[in-house]
Amino acid sequence: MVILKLAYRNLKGAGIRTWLNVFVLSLAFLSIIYLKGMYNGMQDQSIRISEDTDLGSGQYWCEVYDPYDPLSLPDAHSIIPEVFDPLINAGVMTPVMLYQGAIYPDNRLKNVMLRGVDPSQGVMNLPTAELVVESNGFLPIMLGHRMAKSINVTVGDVFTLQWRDGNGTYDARDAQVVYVMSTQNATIDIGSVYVNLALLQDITRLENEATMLVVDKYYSGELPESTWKYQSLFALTKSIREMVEMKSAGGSIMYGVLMALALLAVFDTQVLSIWRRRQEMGTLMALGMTRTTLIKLFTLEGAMYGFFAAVLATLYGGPLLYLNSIKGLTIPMDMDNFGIVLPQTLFPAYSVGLIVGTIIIVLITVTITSFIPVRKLAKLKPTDALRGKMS
Amino acid sequence: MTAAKLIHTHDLVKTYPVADREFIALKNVNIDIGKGEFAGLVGPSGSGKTTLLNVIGSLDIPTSGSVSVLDHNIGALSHKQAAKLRNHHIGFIFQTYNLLPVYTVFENVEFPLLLLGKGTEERKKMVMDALDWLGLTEKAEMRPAQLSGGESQRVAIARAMVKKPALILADEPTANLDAKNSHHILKTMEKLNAELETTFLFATHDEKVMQYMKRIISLEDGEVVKDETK
Repeated sequence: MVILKLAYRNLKGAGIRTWLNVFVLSLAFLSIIYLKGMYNGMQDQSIRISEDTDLGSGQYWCEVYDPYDPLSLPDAHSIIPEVFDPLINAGVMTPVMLYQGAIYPDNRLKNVMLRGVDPSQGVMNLPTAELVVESNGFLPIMLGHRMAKSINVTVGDVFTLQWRDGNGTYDARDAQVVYVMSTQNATIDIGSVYVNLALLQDITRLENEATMLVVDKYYSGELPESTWKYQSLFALTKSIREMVEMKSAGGSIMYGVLMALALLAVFDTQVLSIWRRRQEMGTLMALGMTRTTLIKLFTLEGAMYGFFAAVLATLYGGPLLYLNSIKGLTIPMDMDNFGIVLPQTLFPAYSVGLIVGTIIIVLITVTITSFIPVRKLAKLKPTDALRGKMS
Repeated sequence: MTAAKLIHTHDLVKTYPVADREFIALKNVNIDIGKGEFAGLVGPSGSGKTTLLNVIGSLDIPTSGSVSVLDHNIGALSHKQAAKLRNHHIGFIFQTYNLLPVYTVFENVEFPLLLLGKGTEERKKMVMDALDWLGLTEKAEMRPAQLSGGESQRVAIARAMVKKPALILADEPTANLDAKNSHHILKTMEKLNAELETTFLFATHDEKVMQYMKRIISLEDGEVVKDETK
C-alpha cells in the first residue's frame, strides 16, 4: 500500500511527462480495442448473414459438388435421397440447385450461376416467394441488387437465358426480372440468377434433382445419414474466419507499431527517471527503503502508466466506442465485394473478454517494460546512489 | 565516557579499489560514542569523515574490523536488516538536503513514517509536531523548490527527527548555508539533542560548526589523530 501511495505521488509530481505517456498508451489501448472489435464484429456479422441467407445451420452436398472445383459444377446435381423427404416436407430443409447458364442483357454474354430455389421455402431468409408470378410466358427470375446494377437491368426487363440441359442439349428462353432483392450477402448476389426450382428442374430435364440441401438454422433435431456429405456451419464458415483472421493479422501490425511506440515512451521515461533520480534513490535507501522495495516502487510507477491509460481510455474512449457500436461503420459500396460477406453497416463487437483481455495484456507488457531498466537497481549501493553514481 | 555506548568501532578499516590498487579510506579506527552525545568528526577533505559516517549509518560495510551501532554488527547485517536499522533508529541529514522534489514539505517529513507503517492520524500528528518544532508549519504544503536553503535544511532535520531516532548522522549540514542560517540550524540540533537526548554525529571541516560540538574526533588520512571532549 505504501509503495502504491509513493508511486502515485511520484507520478503526480512528474506532471506533464506522466500525462503524455498515459495519453499515448491510452491511444494504443483504444486502437487495439477498436480494431479487434471491428474484426470481431465483421466476423460475427458475416457468419450471421451467411447463416441467415445461405448456409442455414449446415448443408448436405450431393456427392459430386465441390465449390472449390468449377469443373465439377456441370455434374453437381443428383436425385434428392428419399431419406430427406420428411425434413423437406416439415420445412426444416430446402433443396437448392446450382446450374451453369448464360444471359444476354443488351445482347452481351454474361455467364451466371442459376440458383434453383423453392419459392415456398422458409429456411433461407430470401424473398423467393416473389418468383411465383405470372410472367407473360417469360421465365420469371429474381436478381440481387448488385447483379441487377452490374448488368444494368431492372424489374420488368427481359433478356435471353441460355443453358445446357441434362442431356447436353443447349436450350434458351426469354427471362423476365420479376424482383430485385436487396441483400447484404454479396456472395449469393453477384453472378447469381434465382429461378423457381421446379422450373429449373423442368427446363434442365433434371426432375427431382438438386445440388444441396440447406438445413434450417433453428433446427436442432437429428440429421439423417446419407451418401450426400453433411457440412456443418462451422466448416462452411471456415473461409470467413480465415479471411477475418488474415485481415486481423494485418491490422495487428498497426496496433503493434502503436503499442511499441507507447512502450518505448514508457521505457525511455523509466531509463531517464532512474538516471535523474539516482540521488533520490540513495536518499530513499538512507531513509530505510530496501532495494527490493525500490525496484517495486519504480516498476509500479511504470505499471501505473498502464493503469492510468486504461482509466483515461475509458473516460474518453468509452463513449466513442459505445457510439461506434450503436451507429456502426458504413462500408463504402466499393468495398462491397471485399472477398467475404460484408454488411453495409459494420457494427463492431466489443466484448467484455476483449476489453479485459486487452487491458491485462497492455498492463503486463507495460509492467515488464518498466521492470527491464529497473533491474539494475538490485546492485545499487546506497553510497554510490547518494553521490549520484550507478553501481 | 559516562553515557552508554551507542556506537563502537574496533580496528575499523575501509578500503576502496581505485584503478589497480586499494585506497585506504579508514585505518584502524577505534571510537566509542555514547547515547546523547553531540559529537563531530572533523578533518580535511579525504580524511575519511563521510566514509566513517556511511559505515556507522549502515550505508556501507567495513572491509575489516567491526562496527556496532545499537548492538547491531554492521558488517554482519543483510541489506534488508541494514535498511530496517536505518528506518527505525537512524536519521540522516545531508549537505545538499536531499529532499524529494516532487513531494511537499509535509510529504517529505512524512516519508520515514510511511516506511515505518504508521497510521494516517499518527503520521499527521507526528509530522505536524516536527514541523511545529522547527517552525515550518506554514510551509507544509510547499515544495522544496519553493524553500530557501535554511528552510530546506530545517525540513531535512524535521525528516530526520520525526521518527525520534536514537542517532542522527549529519554530513556537512551547514556547508551550503550562510552564517546566520548555520547558527540557527546548529542551535536547533542542540535543542533536539538536549530535549530528546538524540545522539548527533556530524562530519564537518567548518571551524564555526566545531564550536558547537561537545566532542571532537579529528581524522587525518583515515586515522583518528585526536579525540577531545569539551
